[in-house]
Formats: sequence, C-alpha cells, structure tokens
Amino acid sequence: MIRSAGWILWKDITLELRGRELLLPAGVFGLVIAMLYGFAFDPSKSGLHGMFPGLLWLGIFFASFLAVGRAFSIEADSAQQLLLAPIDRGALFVAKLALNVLLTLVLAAVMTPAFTVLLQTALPAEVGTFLVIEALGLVGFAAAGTAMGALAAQTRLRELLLPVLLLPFTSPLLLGVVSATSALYGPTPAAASSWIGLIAIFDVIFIVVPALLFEFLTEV
Amino acid sequence: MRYLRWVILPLWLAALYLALIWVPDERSLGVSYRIFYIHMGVAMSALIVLTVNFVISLLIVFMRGRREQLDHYAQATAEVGLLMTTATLASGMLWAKVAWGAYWTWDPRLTTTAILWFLYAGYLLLREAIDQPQKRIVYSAVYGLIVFIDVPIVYESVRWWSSIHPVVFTESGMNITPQMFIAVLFFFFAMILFSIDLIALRAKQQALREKLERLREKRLGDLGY
Repeated sequence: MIRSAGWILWKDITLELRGRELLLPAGVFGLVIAMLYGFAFDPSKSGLHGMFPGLLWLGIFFASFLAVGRAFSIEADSAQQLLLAPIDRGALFVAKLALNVLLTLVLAAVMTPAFTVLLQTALPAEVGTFLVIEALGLVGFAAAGTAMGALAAQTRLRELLLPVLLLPFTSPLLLGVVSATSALYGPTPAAASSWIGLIAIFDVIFIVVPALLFEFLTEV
Repeated sequence: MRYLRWVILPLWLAALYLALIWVPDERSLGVSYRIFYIHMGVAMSALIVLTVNFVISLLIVFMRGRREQLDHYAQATAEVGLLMTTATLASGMLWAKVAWGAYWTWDPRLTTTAILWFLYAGYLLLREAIDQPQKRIVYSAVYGLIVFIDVPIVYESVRWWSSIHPVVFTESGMNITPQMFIAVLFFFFAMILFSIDLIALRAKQQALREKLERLREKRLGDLGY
C-alpha cells in the first residue's frame, strides 16, 4: 500500500512541478493576503503585534485552502481510471494526504517569513516550538482538507462548496494554533503545550476517521 | 402518525400554560427566564434528532439494504435538527441579551452550538450539490458520521470547560426545582413529538417525490420519448 501511495504521490508531484497549477497561485495569493493586511491594519501601530498569530494563521489557512481543495480535482476527468487500478483504495487517500501536507508546508515556509517582514514583527524566541506548532497545525489542516476535498470534488459546485464544508471543522484547529502561537509571544511560553495537545488530538481524529471512511466513498 | 397531531396540540397548550403561568417567576431574572422552557425543549430535541441522523448514517454506510428509504429519513432528520438548532440559538440569544447583557458571547457552549449549525448547514448543502442519487446517499452519510463529532462536544462543553452557560443535568442531580422540571418535561415532549411528526411528513414527501419521478419517466418511456 505504501508503495502504491508513493507512486500516486510521485505522479502528483511530477504534475505539479511541470504544471505549477497548485503552489504558484496559492503562494502568490498568500503573499497578496500579507500585502492586503498591511493596508487594512497599520503595521506601525503596536496593537497589531497582539493580532499577529491570528492574522498569520488565517492567511495560511486561506492560502492552503486553495491548494488542498484541488488535490482530488487533479483526477476530475480520470478518477475512474485511477479507481480501476489494482491498488488499495486507502493508498489513494494516503497519497493525497501526503501531497496536501507537502503543499501546505511549502506554502507556510514562504508565507511565514513574508508575514513577519511585511507586518513588521519577529518570530517568537522559541523557534523550535513554533515550528512544531506549524507542522502539527498544517498536518491537521491538510487532513481535514483531504477528507472534505474528497467529498467536494464529486459535487456540482466543486471548490465552491469546500469552504462551507471545511472551514467550520477547522475552527477548533484555528483556536489551537492561534492560542499556542500567542502563548509563545506571551510571558509564559510553556502554556503552549496544552494547546499543542489539542492540535495533536485534532490531527489524529482527522487522519483516522476519514481514512476509515474513505473506502465507502470510492464504492459509488 | 396522523393521530400524533391530535396529541401535539393539547400538549403544546399545556406546556405553554405551565411555562408561562403555572411556574413562579425567578428570583433575580423575573419573567424573562421563562424562555428557558422553550430553549431547553428545542435544544434537547436538536441533540436527539441529530443523534438519530447519526444512527441512520451509520446504517447507510455499514449496511447494504434499504439505502433509499433510510436516506429520506437522513435528509428529514438533518433538516429538523438544523431547525431545532436554529430555534435553540435564537431563544438562547434572546435570553442572553436580558441575562448577560449581550446577544452573543464566545462561551464554549455557544461556540460549539454555532459550529454545529454550520456543520449541518454544510451537510444539507452537500446533499443539494450531488446529482447522482447513489453518490448523494453515501457521501452525505459519510459526512453525517464526521459532523456528528460535534454533538457530544456541545452536550459536554459546559462540563469540560469553564462556561457561563447554566447546567441543568449534573452528576449530583438536577439544578432545577421539581415544579420547573414538570414544565421542562411537557415542553420537551411537545417539541420532540413535533419533531417526529415533521420528520415523518418530510420523509413521506421525499418518498412521494421519488415515486412521482419514476412514474413520469415510465410514462415518458411508454410514449416513446
């Protein structure tokens, strides 16, 4: 199963490297968000720094959302052929999840420095913990995005329906990552650990539950 | 089912009498707290109806037979559940304005209920957007299984986190007087029977619509179209 998942992932990465259909628009959109934030909120005012974790994560979620929503649309016209391949259906889910994790990680790697520069702030002192929060948060977003993307890809509205399906689910995740990041900026950075626990629970639920149910989606 | 309606109306009137006239005013909130009886009735109905939706979704996903019939009930329970959740939020907001001074606060109970509303609104939108019937049945059932995660969280939210929302059922018993409990019980039965009636009506309507669809196709086929 891991082998077949690897091949599907490799196929999608090759397609992305040649076509640049996901990362390029989503990445540019991410930078546009940072610029618009700069216009909407005056970065020279000190009040903005308290809002930075929320602004950063909302920006990352919205940009990632563009990318993860399309992971299943890649095969919009050839889904049948992929399902006819003699491989475990679970491999397909694992491959798309891995693709989405990679996409969101690349996006965050571009957007985080851009946001800190354009909004005139700095990363928290404990960069290691910050990176752990980012990685866990993005895995959770990618997992929920993969599950909801699989559903939305089969609807008439495609990506139009995705925000309504996906974003309410990510509200506990958003609460977790923003609170954890804010704690790192605050006087007691250790307070982040309980929020990291919440993020980890979210990750586990949204990897395990959709993985168990994915089989049923491919039957019809 | 037709006779159910003859029970619901008197029960409604009795519940209204008990909640608005029979129980005394509350010490600090006065007359405004009486909306609590409606609120409690619709809130309990919402959680129960959505739990039924979860059970139906389980049956659709894991059992093979009778998916079409079950799906009519899946749609009906989601719609009635969303209606009851809307009534819960609306009645709660009116009470909150009087008791807390604001229509909305980001209390855990309120927040999780708002998320619940969006999740089931999404469920109905998803159904709406899939044309192929078999796909619609299975996809919405799978989504129904995932969104149900929030229902126990709504129920437990006041117990898990520090919340300003009042709690009625606690481990050490109920936080209301026996007289209040009777009024709550009447309103609960009035609302849950009303929900059952609506669900039955809606499911029957769905079944009839599909039957009409089949007849129309057959007739068009007979005419050679």
